[in-house]
Amino acid sequence: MSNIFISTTNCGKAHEADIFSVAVCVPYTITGSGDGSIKLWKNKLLDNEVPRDYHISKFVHKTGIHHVDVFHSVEKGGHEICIISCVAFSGDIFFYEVDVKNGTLSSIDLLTAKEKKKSYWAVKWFKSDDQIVCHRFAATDVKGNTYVWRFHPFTKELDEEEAQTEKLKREARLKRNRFQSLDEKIAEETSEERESQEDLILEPHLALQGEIAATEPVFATCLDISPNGLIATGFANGTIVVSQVSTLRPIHSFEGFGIQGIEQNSNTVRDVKFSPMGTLLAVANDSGSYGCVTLYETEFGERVGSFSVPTHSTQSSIGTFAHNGWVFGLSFNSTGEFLATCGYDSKVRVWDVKSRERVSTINISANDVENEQEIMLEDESGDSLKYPPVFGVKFIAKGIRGGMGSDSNEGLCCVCMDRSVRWFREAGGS
Amino acid sequence: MSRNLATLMSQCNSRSELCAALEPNPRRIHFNSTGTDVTEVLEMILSLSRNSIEQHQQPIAIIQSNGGTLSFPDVGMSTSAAKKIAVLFSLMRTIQVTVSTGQIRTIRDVYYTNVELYGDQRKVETGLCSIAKNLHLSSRDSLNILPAQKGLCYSPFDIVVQTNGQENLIPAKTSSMIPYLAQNSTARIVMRGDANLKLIVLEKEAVYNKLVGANTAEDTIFITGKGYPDFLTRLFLNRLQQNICILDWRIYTDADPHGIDIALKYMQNDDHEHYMCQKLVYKGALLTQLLRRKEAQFLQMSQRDLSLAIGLTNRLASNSSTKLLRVQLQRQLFFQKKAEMNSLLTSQYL
Repeated sequence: MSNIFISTTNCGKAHEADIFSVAVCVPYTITGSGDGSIKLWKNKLLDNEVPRDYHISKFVHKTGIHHVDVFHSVEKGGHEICIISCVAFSGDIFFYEVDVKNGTLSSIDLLTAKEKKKSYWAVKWFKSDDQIVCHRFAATDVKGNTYVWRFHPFTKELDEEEAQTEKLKREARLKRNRFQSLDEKIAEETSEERESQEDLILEPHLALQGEIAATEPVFATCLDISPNGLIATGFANGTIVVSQVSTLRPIHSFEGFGIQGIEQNSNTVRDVKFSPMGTLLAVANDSGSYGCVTLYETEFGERVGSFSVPTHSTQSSIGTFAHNGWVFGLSFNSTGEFLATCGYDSKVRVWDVKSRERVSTINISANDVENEQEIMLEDESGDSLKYPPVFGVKFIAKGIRGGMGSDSNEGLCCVCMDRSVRWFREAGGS
Repeated sequence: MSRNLATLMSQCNSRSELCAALEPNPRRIHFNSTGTDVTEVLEMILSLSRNSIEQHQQPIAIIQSNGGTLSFPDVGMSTSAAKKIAVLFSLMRTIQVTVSTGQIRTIRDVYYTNVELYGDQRKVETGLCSIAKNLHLSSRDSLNILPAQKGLCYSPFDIVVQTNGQENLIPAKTSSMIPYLAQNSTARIVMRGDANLKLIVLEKEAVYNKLVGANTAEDTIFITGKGYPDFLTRLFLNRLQQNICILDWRIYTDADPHGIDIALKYMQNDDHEHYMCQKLVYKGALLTQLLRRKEAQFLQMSQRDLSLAIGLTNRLASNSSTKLLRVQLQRQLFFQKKAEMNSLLTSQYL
């Protein structure tokens, strides 16, 4: 079976320097670049609209931006919250609150002075769909520590433990009074509602939950949080540590499976991603100059397989790889059936997670950019960008992008070294 | 006049006053330039100190131009002051001899004349700096004790270096040390006809040797500072900028944060313009270039590299002329990898 992805739109020279990161939320596709700015590209474009005309640009920091992530949620009382966090090469994290209705960004300060002193690298938002679990924000630093914060949208903080016991109590009570009179029930519910309405004063803030300390100072390159309460951190030396979010205790530790034994064949982990249910963990790591993608099962920490392309190269006897170049990005689709990967070989591949077969490959070439004036064939040092490496890829759920076929098909978005942002969608309809 | 402790105690009202009264009365010698010859000033200070200690048995206090005082013997508990003053006198004597005889010595050479006293070469350097500062000299080079030459140069044509009327020749087609220069020196390329020359600065001596050995091109000057460049190499490059026949200025360093830092050392200097070579253009080695060569080695960035890189991004960001370097540094950080320039092919440099 193969899925075909067709290009819907793209924007060349989207930034003035390399685009290192892409994040997607319902209203926007967000890119962060070495030119120090982030750009918000409107997702709901009509067929005749071009992305360049519908974007918001925000200059963040002069040293350049390498990580971007976004939190978008409609909270109790219909409050829509959209917060973008980005990390600069200086190690600072910046937060922006987006007013989705009129498209304005305002800088907000969510970290304490002490927390700001660290040199951060990767950041991740986790949106909880469980009423009794807080949203989370996590970041890794260059020394290998992972910090986890609870995110509270309102002044009144949610106490996870209390909420848990409250929930258990309520369940027990319901069981006991199954035949409780209807009036009593209604009275109980309305009193609860009134209580919650009173406390709804919007004040987004972070409260540090704790840190997962590194055993040795190794650069922590990436992280992800799963809905079933796990957090994974990937390190430059090829290790991945999976910890419990509630306790911040490590439960699994994986070593890389690249070619080992020779110094130059390092196996730097470049991205980790949990499947939407949190049962699988996909890991992208180097194997020399090749890129591997490995799948782990999260309950027992077993390696369940890897994605690889058939190869005729002489390397095939030593190891298999997913990309003929480092893999920079991973993204599961909303159902967890497919995984998109992107790499230095200027390819985006889509894999069937169950059969671990490749279902689609998108070859990126600088000449693909629609507007000829925006094609960039070489960088400022005169180095060729004809086949630009792909630095980030994200699946886009159905109905987020505008235009024909977007409601019934999933999409993809990738950012490449030729400073372009490209959007695709699956061909056909269902 | 003899006083006993009891009288002193009755005269002094406080403890600190008593301490002050107990301190010896040193001979105060001001260490600064009187506008005369360096050797004369040094000789005067040395003889004043000698007389004071030998003949008058009086302690001395050398008052430096920055207000600091060095005393001998030191009344405090520190042992370092005596050593400092010994280093100072020893250097003064050396300078006096070298300057008066007109010879030139290297810092390394001076250090080896008394390893036990100096401890390490840096002490000699700081000692020279402080002497130069006290004498209000614009450069410590006029003390005739110079850092050993480090930079190498290969040129297809003779280069004539002229310093204060003295001519010095860098012979063509041989690899030679960069000669001593002063800020007012000139470096002129002696050329027949009007060819357009290329100048390549290399971080590594190994690559320099490889290129010089393989070079058949008749139009390229090679220069290496062997890692972090010394002032002499930078001054030489700065002086070479007067030669308009050099059209193509390139610099190649390792694809790591230190490489970027070294390139910056050549290309930028806000405090001393004469150590800066604005014409140089950073050409690599680029990580992206090396990535196309499968046999190139890529090493993990160490924590030290990372902290240097993060510091550098902040420094580079404030300057738009270094955009090229910034992009490279960002890629190094993003890829988490560094590579050495040795992996580039010879043809990629030329």
